Amino acid sequence: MLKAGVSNSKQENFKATGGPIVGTPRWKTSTSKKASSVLDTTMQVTTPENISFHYQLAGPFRRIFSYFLDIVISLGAYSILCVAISICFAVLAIPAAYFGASELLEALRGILSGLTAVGWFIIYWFYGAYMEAQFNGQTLGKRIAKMRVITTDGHAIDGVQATLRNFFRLLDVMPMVSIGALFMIEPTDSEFDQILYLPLIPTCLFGLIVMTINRRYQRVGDLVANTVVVNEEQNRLPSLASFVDQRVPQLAELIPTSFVVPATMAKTIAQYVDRRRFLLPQRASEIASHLAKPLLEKFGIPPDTDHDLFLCALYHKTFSSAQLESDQAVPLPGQSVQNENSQLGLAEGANKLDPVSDQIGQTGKEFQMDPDDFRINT
Amino acid sequence: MKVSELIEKRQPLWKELERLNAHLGEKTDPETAAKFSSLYRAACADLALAEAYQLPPNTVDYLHRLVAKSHNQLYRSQHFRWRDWYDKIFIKTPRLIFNDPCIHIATVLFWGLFLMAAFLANDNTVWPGFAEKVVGEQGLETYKDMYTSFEGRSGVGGNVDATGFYVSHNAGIGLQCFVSMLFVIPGLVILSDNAIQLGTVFGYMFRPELGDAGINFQNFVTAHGPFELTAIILSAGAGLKIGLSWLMTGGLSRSDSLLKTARETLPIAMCAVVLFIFAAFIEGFISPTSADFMPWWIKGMVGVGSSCALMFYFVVLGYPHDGIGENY
Repeated sequence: MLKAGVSNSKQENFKATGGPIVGTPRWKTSTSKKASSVLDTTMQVTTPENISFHYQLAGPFRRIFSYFLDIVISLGAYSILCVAISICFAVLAIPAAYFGASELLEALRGILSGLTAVGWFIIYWFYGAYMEAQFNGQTLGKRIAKMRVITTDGHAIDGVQATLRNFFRLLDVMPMVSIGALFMIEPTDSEFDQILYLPLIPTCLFGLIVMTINRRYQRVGDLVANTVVVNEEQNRLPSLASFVDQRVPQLAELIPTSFVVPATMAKTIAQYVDRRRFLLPQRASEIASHLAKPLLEKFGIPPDTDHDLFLCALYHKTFSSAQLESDQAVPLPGQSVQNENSQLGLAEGANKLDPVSDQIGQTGKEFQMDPDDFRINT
Repeated sequence: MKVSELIEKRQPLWKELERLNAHLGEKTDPETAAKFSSLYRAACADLALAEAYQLPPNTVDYLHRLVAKSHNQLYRSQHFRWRDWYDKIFIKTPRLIFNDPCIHIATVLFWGLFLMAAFLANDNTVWPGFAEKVVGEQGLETYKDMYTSFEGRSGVGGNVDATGFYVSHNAGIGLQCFVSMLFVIPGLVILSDNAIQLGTVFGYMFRPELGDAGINFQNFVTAHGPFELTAIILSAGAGLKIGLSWLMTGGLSRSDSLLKTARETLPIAMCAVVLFIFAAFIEGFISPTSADFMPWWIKGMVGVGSSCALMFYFVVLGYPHDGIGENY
């Protein structure tokens, strides 16, 4: 739960010398919103365009998967480097061997081994930092796992942050254990066992613990560099629910035209309709009854109408047949931000929508259809 | 207009933005960029007005994700800017190091323990068997044998090999020391351990009874010593700065203090890495040469030269000019 405004004021406080920091008072952020953002694992960001949107935070197990991918990719890159260097030197070494210049061969072997050591150092410490700074917060592993690193106020990270968070991974992957300890193999003195007992496997337990005790799944490196990792999944284009059942539009016509569904109710109905296909009919009807019963009563529609069907009809009326209050409320894209007139129109439109919420009491009695059509089938 | 019509009308635009999101890269022609930004603004407006439009929640969720993704495309990372790094490395960092109490503490701690261990190991009467306890008798034997039979190594191959190993091994240890200082104690343990081990080996090797081994050892360590030991101290000091920043915040909140210090400190750690690399090259190419090939006084001059370079960096570049340095 964070707004850009808050963090900006914090950054300004960096410059102030001495004196207490005036943070944002706690009462300013509503606790309910905070709680919901923790449950949904989202983070709110307010942009320079003055709109606020949510980021989906990436959890530890997704991230460990991308870390694993990055390890594999690093090792792959290292192998390719080794092979490339070897080929280069083989080309040079063949004539050397032909002329029997053994000293030159020795020198070539040394240079090869030195370069691979430096290569491993660079890949191990700087692969993540370079990738994240260069490719807008994504290593290859993160790209495959569809994640991105951003700063806590929603901006792109810079080179310093990328370097810091990758250096401090060293702490996050602690404690390192050996294969031998992991599978409890009895140690012997053979050389193979010495390899078995090298602490090579990162357990990442420390990072996991740190991630679970803060709100934004930040590991130590993230805390030091002020970054978070967010999901960036392929977005499925949403569409409105359409009903095969012909009774839905018919029932929708029974709902009085003067009744306009208030915003919160529209949200509830839409959420219900999105989920009803995952519910058993009895359960769906039970959930629907909480809203359907009082409304049926108000509209004077027979109370034995199928509750589920009624909410579908209400959905149909709200989203597919009812007109928006003001047509000005739908500016063309591109004009939407600049055009002041249309924005004024919007504001009026939005205001007009509000009083409507009190109109549940209004009923219309002009039924043309036989309400018996909508009885629950038994 | 109905909600369904609105969504129908907007969907192609959202789809187009989605498509541009996937294909937008470093080199985008101006028309695509302009199109992207106008589509982005439109999506922003749609999201901002979602309540007024009475869009269903799944559409609102979709818009949140779409805008978030586009936002990340629009505000991109700034890459590594070498100009900034130059500024940091040659102007800000020396001043920061010159003034920094944490680096002073690390220096005193490292050299104090180093000299103490060297004295105890060399003297062997105040604390008999000190060296054996610290390094182990087997370890000491290894060192002794290694330098008794030391004949120098020449040949490019072996030298490059050694340099590569020293870069990756020593700079790795330096960065480990830097990072583990975040919780102060582990870092202090690594620093003290390095100081005591090194001090003990130094003290032991210069015992009079070791004779040739001591001379060979001196021949080996003189040239690269200044860079390598300074690099250890720098990385430890930089780490200590971060570790103390969230314990002693100086009026900031803990997290703010940590973030601010971490940003400041990174150049010091990078400076240490560079010193490790210099040291590795000297250690790989100059140090292992035999006394016949390169007399000891040349190595001494290299040591003195590198010390002077460090002095220049820390004192001449680092001395606060017009009070500017104090604020870093």
